Amino acid sequence: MYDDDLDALAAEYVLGTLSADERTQAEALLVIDPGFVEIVRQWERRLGELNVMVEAVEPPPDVWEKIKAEIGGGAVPGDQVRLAPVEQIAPEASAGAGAALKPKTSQCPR
Amino acid sequence: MLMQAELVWLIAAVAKGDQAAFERLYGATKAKLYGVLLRILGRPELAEEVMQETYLKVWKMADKFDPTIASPITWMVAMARNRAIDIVRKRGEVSIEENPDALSVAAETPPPLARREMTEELKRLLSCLGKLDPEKQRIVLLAYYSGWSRDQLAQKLDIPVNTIKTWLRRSLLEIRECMGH
Repeated sequence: MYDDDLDALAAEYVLGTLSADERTQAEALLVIDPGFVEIVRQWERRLGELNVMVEAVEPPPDVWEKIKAEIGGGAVPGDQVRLAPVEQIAPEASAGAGAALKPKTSQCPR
Repeated sequence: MLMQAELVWLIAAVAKGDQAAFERLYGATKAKLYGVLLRILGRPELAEEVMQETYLKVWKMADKFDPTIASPITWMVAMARNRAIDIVRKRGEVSIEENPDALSVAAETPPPLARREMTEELKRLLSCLGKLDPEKQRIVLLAYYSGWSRDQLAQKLDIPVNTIKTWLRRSLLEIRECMGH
């Protein structure tokens, strides 16, 4: 039963249906439990193929320009797209990154 | 889209710091990742931010990629989806009300593909999904494509959240049994 609970947590983590708190729990487990990492990988393998059915959409050209600038010049301290190492999934770190990503306006330019 | 073997080769080159290979990898995968992110995030400016984050992560973590564990595109999409879902969860469940555009964009699952366009793995997964009740299939697919939480699924489909929870758990464990390991 315990195994099924862990498996269901991993599956819902990969599927994306967990709440913010449950995701934080799953991410903490990913850091400390190699067995859980393996279960999550299995679910990524099982469900990941669904991406084949998602319609491709061309991103704007400046996305690549920004990525290229980052890898060419190295990460600039304080830059909002700077990445935290995977090991550091501290809640405050991700909350900070999330805040940096919030759109400046509520308008949707589609 | 390039063949899977070429993508594996490109990631190996990226792991050695090959910027030209990285540009080719980006060109071959960008539209798929952006499509996935747009469905979940709804807003182009957010999807663009996560594109940048994801590709920088690919650049830095290319040496950790193991082709025996995942296909290149599955690995990259998983990274992008994870980040996107973290963002929408932390933004809170309320914002879906404030962003009706995102809702309508993501309200349906993609149209079915011709069987010849499907990978063997996808056929296997879909045949297992097909054994679930239609309502449960729809929940699993909507969750994957739209990045909805259990609460959002409950709200949108007008089904009690405890029922969603039970159905998801049961459906996923059935998929596991059906697919084997």
